[in-house]
Amino acid sequence: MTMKKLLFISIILAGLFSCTDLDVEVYHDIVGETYFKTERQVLSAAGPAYTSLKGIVKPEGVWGLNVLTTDIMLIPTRGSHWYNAGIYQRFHKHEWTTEEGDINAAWNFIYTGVSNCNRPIYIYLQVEEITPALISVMNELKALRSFYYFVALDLFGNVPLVDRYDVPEEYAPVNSSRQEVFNFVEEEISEGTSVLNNSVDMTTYGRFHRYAAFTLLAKLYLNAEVFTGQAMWDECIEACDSVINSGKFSLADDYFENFLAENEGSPENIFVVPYDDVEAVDWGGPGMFQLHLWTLHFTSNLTYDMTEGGWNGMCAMPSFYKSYDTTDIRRNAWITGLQFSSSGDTLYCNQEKRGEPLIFTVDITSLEGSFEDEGARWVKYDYTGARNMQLKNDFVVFRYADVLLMKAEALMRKNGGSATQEAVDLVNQVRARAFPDFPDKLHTISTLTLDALLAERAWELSGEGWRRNDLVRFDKYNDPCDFRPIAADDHYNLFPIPQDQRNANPNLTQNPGY
Amino acid sequence: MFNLKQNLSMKKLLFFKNARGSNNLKKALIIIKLSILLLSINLIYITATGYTHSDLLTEVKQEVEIKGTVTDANTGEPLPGVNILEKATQSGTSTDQDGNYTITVSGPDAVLIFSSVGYLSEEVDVAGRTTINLTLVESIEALDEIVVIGYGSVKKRELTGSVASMKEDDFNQGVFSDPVQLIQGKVAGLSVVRPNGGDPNSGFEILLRGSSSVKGSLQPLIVVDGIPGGSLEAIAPEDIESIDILKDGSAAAIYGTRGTNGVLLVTTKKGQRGKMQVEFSSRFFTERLLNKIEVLSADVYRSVKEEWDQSDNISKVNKAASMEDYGYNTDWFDEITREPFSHNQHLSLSGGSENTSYRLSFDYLSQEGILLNSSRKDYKVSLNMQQLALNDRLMFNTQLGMTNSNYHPVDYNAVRQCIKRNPTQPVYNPDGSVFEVPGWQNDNPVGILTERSDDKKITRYFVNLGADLNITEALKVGVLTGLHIIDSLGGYYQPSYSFPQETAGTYGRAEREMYAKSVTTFESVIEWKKQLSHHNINIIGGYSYQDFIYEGFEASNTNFVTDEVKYNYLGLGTYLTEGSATMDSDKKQSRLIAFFARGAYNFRGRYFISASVRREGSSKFGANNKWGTFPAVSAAWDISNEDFMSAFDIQMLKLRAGYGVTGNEGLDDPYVPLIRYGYEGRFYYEGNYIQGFGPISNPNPDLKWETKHEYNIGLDWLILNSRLGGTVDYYIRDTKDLLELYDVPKPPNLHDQTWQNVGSLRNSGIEFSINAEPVVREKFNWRFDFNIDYRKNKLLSLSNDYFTLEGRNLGDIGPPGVEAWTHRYEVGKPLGNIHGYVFEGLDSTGGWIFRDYDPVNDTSDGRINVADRDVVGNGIPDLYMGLSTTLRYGNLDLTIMCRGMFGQQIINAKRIWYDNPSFLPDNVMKTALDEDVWDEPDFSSYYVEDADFVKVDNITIGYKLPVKNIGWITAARIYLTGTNLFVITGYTGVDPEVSIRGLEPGNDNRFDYPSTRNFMVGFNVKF
Repeated sequence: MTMKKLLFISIILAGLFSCTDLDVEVYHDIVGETYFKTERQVLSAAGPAYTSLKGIVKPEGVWGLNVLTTDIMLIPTRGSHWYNAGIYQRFHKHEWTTEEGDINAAWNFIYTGVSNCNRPIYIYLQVEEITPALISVMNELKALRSFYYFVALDLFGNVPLVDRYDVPEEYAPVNSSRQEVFNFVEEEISEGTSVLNNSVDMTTYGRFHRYAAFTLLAKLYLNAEVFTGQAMWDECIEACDSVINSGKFSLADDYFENFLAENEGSPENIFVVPYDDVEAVDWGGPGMFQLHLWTLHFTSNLTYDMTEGGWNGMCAMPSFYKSYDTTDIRRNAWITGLQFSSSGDTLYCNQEKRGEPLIFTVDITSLEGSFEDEGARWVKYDYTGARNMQLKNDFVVFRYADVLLMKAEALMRKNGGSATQEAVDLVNQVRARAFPDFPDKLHTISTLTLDALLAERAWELSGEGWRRNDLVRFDKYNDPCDFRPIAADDHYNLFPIPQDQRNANPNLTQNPGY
Repeated sequence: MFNLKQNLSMKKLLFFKNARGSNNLKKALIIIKLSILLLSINLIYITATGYTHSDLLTEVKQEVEIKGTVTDANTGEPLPGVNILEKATQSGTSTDQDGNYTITVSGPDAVLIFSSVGYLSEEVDVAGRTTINLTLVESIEALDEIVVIGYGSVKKRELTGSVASMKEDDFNQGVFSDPVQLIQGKVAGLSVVRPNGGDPNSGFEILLRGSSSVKGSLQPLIVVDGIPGGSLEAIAPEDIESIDILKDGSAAAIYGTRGTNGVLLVTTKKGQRGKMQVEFSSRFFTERLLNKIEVLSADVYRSVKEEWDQSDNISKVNKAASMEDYGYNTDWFDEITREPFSHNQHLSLSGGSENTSYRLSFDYLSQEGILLNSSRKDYKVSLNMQQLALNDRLMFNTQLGMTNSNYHPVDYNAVRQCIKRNPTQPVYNPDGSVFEVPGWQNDNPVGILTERSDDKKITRYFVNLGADLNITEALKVGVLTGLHIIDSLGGYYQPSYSFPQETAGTYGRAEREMYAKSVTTFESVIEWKKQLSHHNINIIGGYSYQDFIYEGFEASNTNFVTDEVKYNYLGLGTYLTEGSATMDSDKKQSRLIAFFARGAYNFRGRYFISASVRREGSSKFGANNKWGTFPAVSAAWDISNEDFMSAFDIQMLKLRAGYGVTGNEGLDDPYVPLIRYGYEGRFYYEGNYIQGFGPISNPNPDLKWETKHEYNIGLDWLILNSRLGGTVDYYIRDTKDLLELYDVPKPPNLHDQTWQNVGSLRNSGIEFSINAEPVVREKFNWRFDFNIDYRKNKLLSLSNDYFTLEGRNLGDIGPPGVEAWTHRYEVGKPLGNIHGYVFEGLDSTGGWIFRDYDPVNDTSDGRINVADRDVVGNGIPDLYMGLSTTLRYGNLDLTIMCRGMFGQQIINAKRIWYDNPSFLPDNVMKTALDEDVWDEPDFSSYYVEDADFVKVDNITIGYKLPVKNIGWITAARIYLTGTNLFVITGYTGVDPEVSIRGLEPGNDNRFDYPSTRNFMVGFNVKF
């Protein structure tokens, strides 16, 4: 016994635990593609396609691009607030660049949604025994995907079309033409109108059912001339009729019933994105409905018994607010004047006008230097009792009144831009509700011009996210307006492909003019 | 009972390939126990089989007892704790507190080696004597001093890599919290910065040789008594014997994936065999503001209001109208600060018998911060025990420790509110409650500090068990097992009467948060060393296993019926039933496994070469890249040992060169490369909300560590009878495969960014240090240490064939008004660049004039936009300096330590808002009344200031009490220490010492903790 033996023992000692296993447990996250087994799990895979839809209401994304760049709303710089590196001034003046974070956010909203549809569709195709429930969800996801692509078609035009999940590694798609994207959406959504669930009740609430598909189709055809150069008014009318003749929707008696905190009872809302401040609190998630905070003053929470004060940002464009007929009940979607708490105490400014009573004025000083109390605030949705920094009202994407106005527009356009009695009747259905006591405010064939129809759409649909789309179709998007004295170039009708995206994928070509 | 065969089969049993997951803690404990058991079994086996090899049992012959006293050559004072070793037998003893020793040697021709930290070792021939009295010479560069280099140690003379060694004598004095402060300003290339002023709950930022990574960790690896990944916070500064710093890649490569940012090897004090020694030290200290931000007093505020009311300038009239006079005179700084009193007590007991030695220490720290209610209390207990067996061939090492830290941090927002708060407002209402005015971000700072409870208790436990066996003189084997556990429990409460609760209309918010971390370590090393005439060889090989587990839980609730229960009765709130309470839990695991080897060879002590390699795998990385290899090689030539040098009075002249590869594990999240599904919000499904699940990140199975290649050349020299020495080092460190989040096309990717390894970064620099003892007299002694280093860094690339990135903007000045980035990192430029508008002047009304020029497109377009931003400074210093000098005269000593950093710029963010009268009616700085600027706040070069500084950081005056006549006291010393005393700088802010690390260095923002001067009185007694 000797050296050798000792050496041997030592080697055993040292080598004893020479384990080389690096496979650790993954506790907090669920790993791999094998997760989806039970029906509930399979359904949960569809979840992200809908949860990412919640981002539609973000002012620093799609909603902002569709509203804050138009002639109805803006965010002026107020004292030391809301300069935000000039983005809202550039939005208003149509001077945005390819590097705007908000435009990139809109792109990401669209393609997160597309990917979140592609992936479950791929997963479902791997499921061995595909059930009718799965087929139904799959159809729904295809329709939802075409909605995301509609937003892309509208905002960016020439975008990459990716409709599958199992793409090769390092795949970098190229842009498709706007026509190709249009064709894709048309084909997919047309298919959807025959296979999607046609019941309209709690089982399809907040989901892409058959009438959501018809409304989307109507939107697509209404804008077909913009998208492809080829007008499709008859197809638009047909799609509108499918909604109108179904008998499943009607105008709510009270315009504001559609925007209540609990607005799921509205007979008029066709497709909504549901939000909830308890069931679906979404800190850091895809989206929170916060438009109340963006518009209300820091102290306005006392008016609406909200747990958090507002951020005092956006307000009505003065000329737009003034364009309302003073008897139009839809003007109540805005508040002006001296502000009170819910118990009747006067509210006071607390920023650059600290100590003065808080009076929301209609006029604002300038885009670059306004004050905390300026501008009418948007209160179309009921904000009462809002908490957790989010609204629980469901955000309305498609509404019956919009369908009526779309059909009226298609009829007029088909008629060379002049009203027909049918168009007048359709518009008056909507207008009658806004002026219950003033039948003289209704339109006639002679008063209902295309401009009058555009104005009607602005009053009816304020803040619902369609203003940019409407203005582009009427070729007025870049016209001068308050604080934008000179018309902007037409290339602003489309947003640029965000530079971040082009950096990540050099195969993407930029839209003309940028 | 046992035989070798059975041992072998146990190997299989213990091969815990299947040891997974949840039981790992238990298993770790079993492993610890088994490894000790096994070691013992082997030894029992050795002895039980009648092992009588002459290597193990030395024949006893002609034993001689030798006595003597060891004294300091300069002072003549007895030296306790000197190790005395018989060269042939390795048996030894040490001197007692009077410097006396007794040793039994094997014969009259024995050779004794006397060694003590900080002294030159002596080899003495017994030559038949029975009394040997000796004097040891203190040395600034004790060449025989042992330097710990990771899995081993070498004599300083034998070093081939760039390693700095700091012993107790070198340490800064008056250090009571974080031991890293012991070496602040002492080591060239190592910067230790305190970014959060005097906050007792905030520590130091350590950076060695610059930022070696963009997104990965920059923290040096800390190895405490051989266990990698330790935390300095768990150790009382007075329990530390030495800190050795592995600076270059050739030295740090033995630590593989964690070596990139350098390695700090901490060795704690062990017991000395012999009579029990008791040491007690006590210190008391207070703090004062280093600088105060001068704001308008109430009287000035009122007079400005009156004056501007009469002005013909409409903006002044408007301002005056908005300035309200509440009728009080409040100095908000006085209201939020106090004169804190803190103290620290340390007691240690050490001693031992022939085969056992121990050291037990207790430490208590009670620290008050200068801001009201910020405080900290620490209790630390540790036990170090060594047990020798088998004729001192086997040594068991046991370390047990527990520290309990109670943190009470405060919200730095108090400082911001304190600056801007209207000085005419009262602090309290007549009823004693805090006076509040509704408004956005407008909290009473006294309320912020006094009304909220923020308590965090962190308990750290550690158990290390090790055993070293000298199988033969040449062959040694060691095992080390460790279990470290950190438990944290935090509670936060905002009472119903606090401002945020009143604003929200809720009645109290409580949060509870806890986590448990555990690190299980097993390491084994075999070492073989041999001296064959002039050839010295040393080879080690080893294995390392570390498993890390993190578990966390948190919950909150709101609306309580009473504020009495605070966070101690979470269920009482109503938010839980209302569905608004929050709750979450988390658990993560990662593992590191490595094999390593090192060989060192030297010939005649002149030519040295060392090479090491570590093969390491990390569970954090992608399936295709889990394992990596980290080689290193270094060599040195000690010219002074050449025969032709004998004519010169040069004690050392050594040239070193090394190359080493290290890695950076980087990411905190251990699961990044995997395809993971996570919660994706809830969606409405047939009347109910159900969970959505989706992939939460893009996978990357190729993800791996960043790799750093470092080249280092150095020169060590020592002349004038070892009284003047120094070191010069030059290094280039190239980091490749930088971890960076890249934009990826979406589609097809689900997320728009993926972690990738792309890009490279270069750091280079030169370091000088000089150590001198100009005066060495019996009564008077002067020592002088100086170091200076220059660092440079450049981002070489962020692109490869597939991913391209030119640079990124980051950082955030903050609202209101200034919503712009502060920094930019960009290929071809150094990290830390501050990026903003270029200030060109002010117009007649005090409005900004910024440079309208886009250097990229070479245009000037008539408007100021983001393209006009440019590099306007850099927050990382170029030059770092540290200077310490100690004068001893008799029993008096004086030490002064200064630190300096040069070449950096700082964003003086407080000026952006408070040196601008447009911020009235909020209070502003006195300088705002100069009215040079009168415009909305914006960020430009106007607020970027040069921040070169020199700090007189530590002055200590000590007096050694003459206790020779008091029998029961061996030594006693009293001292006064002042830290952070003076700053010499052109910077106009409070303290130019801000974070210099990472991507956003040099930001002196509004939310901070005041910097303080610290005044301390302390004493040490030894019994």
